[in-house]
Amino acid sequence: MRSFKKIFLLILFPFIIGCATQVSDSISSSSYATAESDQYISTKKLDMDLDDLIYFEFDKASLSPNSKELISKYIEFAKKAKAIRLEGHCDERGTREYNLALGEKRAIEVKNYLIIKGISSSKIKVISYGEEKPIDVESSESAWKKNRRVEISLF
Amino acid sequence: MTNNLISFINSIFFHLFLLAILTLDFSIFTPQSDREKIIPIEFISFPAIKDERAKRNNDSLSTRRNNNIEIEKEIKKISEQNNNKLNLNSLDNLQKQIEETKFFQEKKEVQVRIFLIQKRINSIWKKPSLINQNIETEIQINLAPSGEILKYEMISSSGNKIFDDSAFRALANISFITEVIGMDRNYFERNFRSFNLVFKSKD
Amino acid sequence: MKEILDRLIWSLNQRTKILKTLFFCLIFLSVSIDAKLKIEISQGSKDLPKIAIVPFENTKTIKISLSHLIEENLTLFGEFKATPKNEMLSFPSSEDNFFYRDWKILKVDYAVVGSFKEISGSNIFIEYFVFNVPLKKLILKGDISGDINEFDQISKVISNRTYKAITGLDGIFNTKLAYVLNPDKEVYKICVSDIDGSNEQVLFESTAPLMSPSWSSDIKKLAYVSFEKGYPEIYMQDLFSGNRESIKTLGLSNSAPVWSPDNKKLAFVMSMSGNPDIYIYNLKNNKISRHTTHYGIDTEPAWSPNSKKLLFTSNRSGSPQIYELTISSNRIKRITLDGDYNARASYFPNGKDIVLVHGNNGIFHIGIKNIRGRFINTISKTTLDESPTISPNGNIIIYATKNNSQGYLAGLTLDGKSKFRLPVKFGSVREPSWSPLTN
Repeated sequence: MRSFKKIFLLILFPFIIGCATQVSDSISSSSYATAESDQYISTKKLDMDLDDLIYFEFDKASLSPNSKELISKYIEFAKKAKAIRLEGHCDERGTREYNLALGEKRAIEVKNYLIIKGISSSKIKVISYGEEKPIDVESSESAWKKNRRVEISLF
Repeated sequence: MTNNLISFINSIFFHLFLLAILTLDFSIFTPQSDREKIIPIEFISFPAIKDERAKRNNDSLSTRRNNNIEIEKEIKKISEQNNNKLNLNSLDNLQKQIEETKFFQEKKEVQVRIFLIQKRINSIWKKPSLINQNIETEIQINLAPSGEILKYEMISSSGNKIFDDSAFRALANISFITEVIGMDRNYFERNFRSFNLVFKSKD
Repeated sequence: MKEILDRLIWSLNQRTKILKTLFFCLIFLSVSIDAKLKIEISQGSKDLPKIAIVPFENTKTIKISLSHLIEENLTLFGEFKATPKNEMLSFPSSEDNFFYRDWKILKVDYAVVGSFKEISGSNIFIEYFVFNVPLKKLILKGDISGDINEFDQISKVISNRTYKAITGLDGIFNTKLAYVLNPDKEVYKICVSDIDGSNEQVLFESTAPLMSPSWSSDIKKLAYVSFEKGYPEIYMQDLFSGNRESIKTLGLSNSAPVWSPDNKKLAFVMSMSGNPDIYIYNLKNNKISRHTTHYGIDTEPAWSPNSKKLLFTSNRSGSPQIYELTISSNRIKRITLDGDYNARASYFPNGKDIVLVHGNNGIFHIGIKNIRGRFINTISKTTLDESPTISPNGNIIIYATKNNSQGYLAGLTLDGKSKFRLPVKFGSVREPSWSPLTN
């Protein structure tokens, strides 16, 4: 019976999605806001004695307990900082546009964790470079491990 | 259409099989002396049907080889049966067994020749690259026993001129199908005097 | 009593006999239905069709060899094997002095012959013929006139027409390729070249990453993603004037622009607060509409040939898979089921098959799948293959791959007979995008 329900839901699922996206919002050209320029870039990056790289699994955006511990060490400084920049990256495997989105998901994951810890979301800037800016250009397991990262910088 | 026919015939076979089994059961009740006259039904061998199906369904080399092995086995089995039952069976029955054996021999022979012809024509046919189009051209070929192609004509077109042309080009490059040389004349007349080549764009 | 039993047995015996005869009759009947032997041929030869391009006869001494250019074009993707000049038995120049037997001996499948003469000044007139040798048929008779300085262009036109006459497919020798060139770590270029890799032109150069070049269907503009302002933004650049304009949106991250085949819309991906979704930008009225709302990643849109559907990659099921979106109803259908990574799909010109990046256990190949079928047929052999782009005639795929962390472009024909590498560039090359046909 339960599996029957599941199947029923599965059948229904595309329709639910279909309904949900029915209301496609049109944004008129007049309401465009020009994208904010990165004002904080001009201010000096804060130097800290902390590892500023958070690593991820392949095709995953979730934080490991180790990473959470590392981010927690930032909280103190982050509260004082004017701005926080989170840069998401991926390894070379997989497609480029998908990796661009995945890098963003990774940075957002870190951002959400910071927000939970009490950092104001308006201070946090998120950007993804996908697989375009690898640290190590080699095609090896160790290189990929280094490249799947979010870089934290405080200003 | 042919598929429907095949399945229809198969279903008839199946029903006949059931009937045959039923009659066999009844025949057990007949006296010993009469049982000799009743044809041993276990001999009406179903491998014949199996073989037909396998031939239709599988085209790959390995299965074809297996088929050949199977056919050989079958021939052996039948000849063994022949030897064993020589004294028991009626002359009429023996006649039929010999026919059966011949039938299998012909099948085997024809299978081997078909395989060789396929291999040869595959090696010279330069198939145009038509991605994702599932089409076929059927060409009828008339042969002389020497293997000489007497005539070929298109039975059904694929609808794609380039594809049809490619099949004709392959045939224009050969004037003999030497693969049929040296086979039993009767087998040749029954199978290769006139046959159809089906060129398929997809496997 | 015994009499009755005997009778019964007798009748049963009769019945068995009848049934048996019937049985054999049917066996032979079934054989006789199939009496006409049918032999199926489906594989075909691995050999390429042989083509002979006879040097074109000319009235005056014109140094450039037109036949050589045509030969280079037709053999570019490994679809034909050219017959060397020194093997040719005769050098005909028209229908009148062409003898099939000279070419049948060489087992040539097609022969191209022609001649040209100067009309006035640099203007030339070319007449050419294409023969199907085994069938002894003239399949194309054409002429063209043009400037002697545009030999390259003339050879491409003749190649295209010859290709069409032989294969029935559109010739693609005057199409172009856009790609991203990364000569060293800090320099990114959007480049356009002829399909054979020659005449490379840099359209835009930046120290920030550049991504996702996409052609407009009139081949006048190119859309791409630039990080020049610190975040991904979509630019549309006019190829001739060099004018660039960006699409202004509310989102801070815009990517993966793709021009619709009817040239009226641009599908792209916009992320508002970390949720990348598929949007369509209407180029006529500058309106933007949203077409997916799932919280997972939705990206890599690709238009169907009729501009009514989009393929896209989504990880809504947990791993990246291909989905099809019907734009008018926003109905979404999952297309791929096998494998743990299926991404960046695009339609073949027939709209029924798709090419995609298929990953399994961290190995990525180019795959082909029927939109309704189940199985993905992998066609490339290297392990980091991505960004497949299909030729406008649907017969060739070019993709990006890597060797020793150096990106290069490779290609293959769909019949699997030919694989090739595009000329090596100085630097890493990626994200090839094949232009539509120029008319």
